Amino acid sequence: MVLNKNDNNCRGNKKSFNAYLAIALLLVTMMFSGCFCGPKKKMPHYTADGKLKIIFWHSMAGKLGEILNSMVDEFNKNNKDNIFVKTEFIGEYATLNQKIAAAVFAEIPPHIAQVFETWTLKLKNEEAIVALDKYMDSAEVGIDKNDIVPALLRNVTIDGKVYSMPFNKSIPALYYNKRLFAAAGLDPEKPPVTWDEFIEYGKKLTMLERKGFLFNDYINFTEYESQNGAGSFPPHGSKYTVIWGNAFISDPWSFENYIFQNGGRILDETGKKAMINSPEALEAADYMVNKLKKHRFALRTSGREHQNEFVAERVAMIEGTIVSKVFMQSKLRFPFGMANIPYNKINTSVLSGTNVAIFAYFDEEEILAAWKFIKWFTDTEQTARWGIETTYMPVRKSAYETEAVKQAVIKDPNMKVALTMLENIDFEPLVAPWFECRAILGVATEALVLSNKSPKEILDAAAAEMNEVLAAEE
Amino acid sequence: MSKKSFFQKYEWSAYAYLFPALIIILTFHVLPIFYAMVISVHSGGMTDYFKNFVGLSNFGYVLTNKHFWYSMWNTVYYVLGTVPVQIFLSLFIAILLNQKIKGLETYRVIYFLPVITSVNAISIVWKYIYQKYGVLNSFIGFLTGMPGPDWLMDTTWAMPAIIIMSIWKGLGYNVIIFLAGLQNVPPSLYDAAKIDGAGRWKTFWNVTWPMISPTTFFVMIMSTISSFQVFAQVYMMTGGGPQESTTVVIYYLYQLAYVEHKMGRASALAFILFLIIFAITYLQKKFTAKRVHYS
Repeated sequence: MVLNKNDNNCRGNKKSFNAYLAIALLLVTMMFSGCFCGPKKKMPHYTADGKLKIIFWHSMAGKLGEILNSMVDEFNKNNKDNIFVKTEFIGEYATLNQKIAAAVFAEIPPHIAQVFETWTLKLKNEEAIVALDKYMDSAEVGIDKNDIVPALLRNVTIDGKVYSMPFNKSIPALYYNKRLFAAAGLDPEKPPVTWDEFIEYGKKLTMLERKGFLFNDYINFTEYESQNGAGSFPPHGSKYTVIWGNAFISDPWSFENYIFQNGGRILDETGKKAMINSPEALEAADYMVNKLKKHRFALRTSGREHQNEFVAERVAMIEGTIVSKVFMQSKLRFPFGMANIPYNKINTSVLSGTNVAIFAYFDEEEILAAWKFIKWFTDTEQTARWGIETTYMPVRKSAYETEAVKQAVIKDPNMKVALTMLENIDFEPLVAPWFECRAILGVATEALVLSNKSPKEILDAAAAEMNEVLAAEE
Repeated sequence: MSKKSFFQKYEWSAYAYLFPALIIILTFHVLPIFYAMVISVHSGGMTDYFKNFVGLSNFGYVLTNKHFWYSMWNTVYYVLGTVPVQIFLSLFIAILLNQKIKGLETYRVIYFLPVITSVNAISIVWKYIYQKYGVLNSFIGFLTGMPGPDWLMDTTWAMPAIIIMSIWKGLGYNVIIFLAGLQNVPPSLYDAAKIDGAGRWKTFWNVTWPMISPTTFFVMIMSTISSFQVFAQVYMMTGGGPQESTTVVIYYLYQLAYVEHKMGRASALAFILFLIIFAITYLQKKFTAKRVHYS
């Protein structure tokens, strides 16, 4: 009896001991993680040869990354301020965004990172990035603000202050296959300029191919449909191959371009009301959808598929960012042309690409060093070089006047799209909940193409949902 | 009874062995759960998740949001599409692989290869397969003379496309588990069945099926849980589209957390999903446990 009782006691002790141990371990772990997460003063880092190390997070993949790194190497070699910029490739933009969010939360951001305008707005609201006006206007390290392309400067200005510098900015371009233009009886040097011309060209360029011969035109293609049922196309692997006039993505970006080109807006001036169901936007939606549904000369694709189809000569015209040239041109086995994308009322397009921002949490010395690098990278000579090598838009007015840029356009006329300063550039609204709104717009854009509802119905619903999101943001 | 010293009294070495695993489990599993619980009742920004205490309003937001219910429906569709098919297909293949045939190892490797390949790499390859002019549609066109669907860009076909790929990808893992289960069935039972004159089907139904029921149970529970958490395929192949037809719960959670930076709402959603998975696992256990025979 006594022994048994002791045993029981022993077991009871053990049970509570286990509980204590678990709690103790939990506390120890919490303490550990507390040590790692707590606010700390960051010390500047130096390279082995005593240079101040500046970390730069970017998303420039492949060829673009190589060009960036070679320019940074040059800066590291030649700058007299003992600055060493270390670039770190983070992955695509979405990954970079996540990593910045996590780094800012843990208070260990890089000195410089590429950021989209909406992130800039969020980071500014969290006081995670520094305003650059102080440096831009300073006598020693300042720059001439008036020399920055006006639209780009507007794009980085929030409440009258500049929080980032335009870095790799791009606009869309029309890529077209000159060989197919000639085969369809079109002048290869005269790409379509307006929406109407684009539709006309698209129909002519939609052809059937058999054994390498392009012998059918759009009329015969519609005949095929009348024999085989509307909406049918010769299946892959049959005796015919379709060559499409156009391949497009039904994404917000395309739709936004068309809205702006038609004189519409996405949000009103207050940024609290969606305008995507305005008459201008509805017309833009019709233009996009009718390529596919009414005129039937377009192939709907996703991701970079349209580029692949263009490279494979299965599609005659595509709209894509000017930077795609860098990735595509080595694969193109036919003469191709580039032009501004066709417009309706206003010759404009949507600006994409990122800016660079400098993060807070650093000593003045480091922030100044980071700024010196950005200043160097965006000066007339460097931004012209960056533009010529990558096809991103040079950010300085004076860069467009340089001999290097003029020579580049003479050497390759397709560079004209990127290296001509634009009168009109529009950009996505600068409001904090834009990502939510863009997601809503994305679903609506897909619905325009896929669902049987009328564009008005779809866009009214999307506008209402966007208004709700915009109203909820304090 | 001699009095034991403090160190003799407890199995210290046992705790020492457990310590490394405990640290990892506590840091990466237990602690984040509590952390998420605290985040889920707050709202805040990118740098401060705990700016305002908002009580249960994040839960209210998620539960009244139509996007949540879309994503829930899509997830249920995915689970019902993958789990039953995968169980039967993998059991069937395991039975085939449990025989004495030539090149058995090669077959087993072939079925297990997709499991060890990165889901991201597989997704990219399957994205090409599913293209309008991709391999699959060429094949369909060749066989039937009809054009195949535009798999990943069609609201009707996008989810089935992801389900088909996921079944193919996960099959090998379950095949291996079933193979282990099948090989644990004592041969004497088969001999006895043979003597009693049982045919193939009767042997399977009366010997194999009850004997591997713990394995089937395990596979069912595990694949249900992991199917509810499907993410990578969706992220890589469709990005939740077209028109949200493949936006599963975890994808929606990802959007809340990393696109909209609403950590509170995302944590609330994580808890709701946890409760749902917990409830379903409990029900599965309750209704099937009596049919499971542990020998």
